[in-house]
Amino acid sequence: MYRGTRNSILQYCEPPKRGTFSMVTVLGFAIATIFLAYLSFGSSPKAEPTLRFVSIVHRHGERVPTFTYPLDPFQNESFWSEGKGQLMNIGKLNIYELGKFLRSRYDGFIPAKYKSSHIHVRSTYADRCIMSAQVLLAGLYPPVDSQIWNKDLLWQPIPVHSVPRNMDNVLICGTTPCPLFVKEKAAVVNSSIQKMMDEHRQLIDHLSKMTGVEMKSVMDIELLYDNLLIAEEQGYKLPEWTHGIYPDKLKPFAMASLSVFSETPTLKKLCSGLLIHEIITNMQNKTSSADFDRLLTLYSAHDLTVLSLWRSLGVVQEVPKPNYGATFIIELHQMSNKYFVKLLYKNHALDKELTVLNIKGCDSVHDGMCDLDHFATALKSVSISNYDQECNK
Amino acid sequence: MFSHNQIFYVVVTLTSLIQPYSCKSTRDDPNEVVFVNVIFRHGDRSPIETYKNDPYSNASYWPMGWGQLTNKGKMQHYEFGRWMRDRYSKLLPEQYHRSDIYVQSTDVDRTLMSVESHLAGLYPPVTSQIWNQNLSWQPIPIHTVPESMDYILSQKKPCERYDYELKKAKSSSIMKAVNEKYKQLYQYVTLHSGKKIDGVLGILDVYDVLFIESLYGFGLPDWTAAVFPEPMKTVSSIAFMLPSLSQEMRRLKAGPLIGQITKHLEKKSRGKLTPDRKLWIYSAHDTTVAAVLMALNLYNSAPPPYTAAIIFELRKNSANEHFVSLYYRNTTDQPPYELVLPGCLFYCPLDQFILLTKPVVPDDWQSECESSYNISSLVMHNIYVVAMEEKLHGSSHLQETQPGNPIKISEDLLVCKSALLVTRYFIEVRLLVVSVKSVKMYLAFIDFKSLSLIRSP
Repeated sequence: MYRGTRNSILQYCEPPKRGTFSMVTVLGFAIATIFLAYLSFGSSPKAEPTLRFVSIVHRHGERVPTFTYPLDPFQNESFWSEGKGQLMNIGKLNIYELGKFLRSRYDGFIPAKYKSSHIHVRSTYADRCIMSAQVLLAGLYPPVDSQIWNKDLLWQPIPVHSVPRNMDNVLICGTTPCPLFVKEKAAVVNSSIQKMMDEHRQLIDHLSKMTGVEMKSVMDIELLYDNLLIAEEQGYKLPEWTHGIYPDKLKPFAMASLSVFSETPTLKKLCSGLLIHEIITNMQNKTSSADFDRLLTLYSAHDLTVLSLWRSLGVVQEVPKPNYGATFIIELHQMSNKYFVKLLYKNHALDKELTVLNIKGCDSVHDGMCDLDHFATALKSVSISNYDQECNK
Repeated sequence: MFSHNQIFYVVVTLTSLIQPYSCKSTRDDPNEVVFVNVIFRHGDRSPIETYKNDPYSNASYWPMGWGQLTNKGKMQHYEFGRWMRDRYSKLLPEQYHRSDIYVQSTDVDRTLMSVESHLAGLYPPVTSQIWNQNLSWQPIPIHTVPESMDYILSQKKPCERYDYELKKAKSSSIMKAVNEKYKQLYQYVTLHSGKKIDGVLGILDVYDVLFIESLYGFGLPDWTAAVFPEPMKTVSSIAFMLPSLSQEMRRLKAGPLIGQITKHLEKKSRGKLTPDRKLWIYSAHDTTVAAVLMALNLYNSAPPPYTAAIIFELRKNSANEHFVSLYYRNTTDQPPYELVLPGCLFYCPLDQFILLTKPVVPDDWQSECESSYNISSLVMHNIYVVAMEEKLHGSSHLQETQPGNPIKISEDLLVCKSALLVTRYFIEVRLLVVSVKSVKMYLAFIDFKSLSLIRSP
């Protein structure tokens, strides 16, 4: 479609018959504008021809803090009209943009017309994740042609399959009863985490005093960090006491809090094992079954999901703290008769560039990609298919 | 058994134990709707599957895929959402607030998409919620449970006891009579469709395909003229009764959903519902809608059409008394039909409503699935319903309903009739509301085994 527009522009600009200066300037400017718009928003097929399957694990968009403290100057609901933990308008918009980004990246691979067999969307129980998945799909699949069901509303419903918190072992860590998980996590908390807390006793006592709530664990500090981060992002002036403490002194605690869940090989398995297994299985199905129509699986989840996946996959690059709309992409490519995996990441929904990631045990052989079989082998020890069985080992 | 004197003694004792209650306590109509629960079917869809000899079995006839919501279906639910906005404009603020509503759907594409469309009609973004100037839509969370674990809405979680009851229902005398009556139809449809049909459920499968194809103007094969829509439609409606034929089945099928709804209503009436919801939406299937209607003894013997909805309104009068009014919305041509729960009035006092629905609500679904359970609560319920019917209408209209009424075809009515002999004494002393506890005491005096009612697997 867009190609047609470009041709017509070229035809139009070829015969510059009336050569008045102003006309040329105006025309030139108009053409330049259209070309620029085309370059940035154009929807010509861009997807790589080798692409066969895509899995995307992303964090929800900007949200209201999930935690407030007694001395929080912004604890009043009036600062956060959407309510605790809810997706904000800016979060909706940014994830919608992420959907548009995916459309432009995968156009030609993922047909513009929605078809249920092409895509599966899974979300955690959380409102903000379900809503993020919905807006992402609004950006990825604006209705076209015969799918426009309401000409006054260029949106179409697309199913988002969410799973209750207490049944979700794929995208959430340790919410179903699992003695092994509890034991392993406690061991980590009691050793390295406790050591970290002890070493910073003075700071932690200060935090407790200034917030009016006892900071008992790294998670308490993570939630405080998160609260301050969001308030700052929303342009609220942080209290005086935070100067020199936030963000630099708190961030390591936030990272430690998120990392606990993937600290040991067992925790990695229990936290990300099912997800890794599902992603690999889907790619393998794609290579072996012509009936497997699916092109894309979307997982709408949390920072913890993204960070745990990063660490469990054994990505060699340094772990970031996943921002809103952080996107982890696992692409399957086919070159002649061989299949390759490409890992890509961006830390925020609006980041323009994707970083290519590499994992331990699967060396890049071609353009940052590694062999699918090697990939599966490298992850064998972390990939699990039966959660309960692993828990009772 | 025992003498009139004994019964009189029991009755007098019971009346002194329970609080007097008058049916006429309604000082004014409960006009204020404070809370709504709605269960609906998805909108227009493509056939779920096809039959062997279907001339339209090629997937190209249904580009959206099998069992998928069509554009028409999206529009139907969008319009339904707008209707809800209009009907409940006083109850529901224009701005979406996460505490006001809870939305649950079965984990199936068409029900998820239906309720998304519904919400697009119900909550177009206004003022500060407009997040995208070019799009009059906003995301609203819809919660689902995987089908294999969902015993409340999709009612697909495996249940041994239910499977046993279904098997029993299929070979019950009534179903045998139905199968005998339609034996030729089964043979005829088997022969022409190429699909082996040996019961009402098989007829429903083919009927559904033919119904959709005729709706879309596809010319149906000649053989269908003799059987479509009738008698296939009638047989299909029996297929919706079969899964809820007995009280035991109702308890295990729609029971948990009815239980969840009555719990919401009860909590709301006491100001204990947190968050304090205004609307609860359940997006589901024709089977769900029929199962709930069957459990409430309100099934109208017709397959629930697209977007068919059961609406539970919790209402309040000026004296702060709570009532439940039920509606069935199965057409857009007129306001929804008022449903009267057997044993109650249209504005059914909440206590009554809970009491009347209690017998189909399992205390613990899981353990009931794993074991047989005591039938006495069901018997108790039926005695009560028939007694209330007699009091309200002079006679029980349960006995006068059309042939095929589920009450009549189950054995329950026999139970009621036998029990009525005893129940009349209660009515005579104007004992209108009996607490469950006191009925249990009363039942203790009757040897139910003599009525040969105790059935167990």
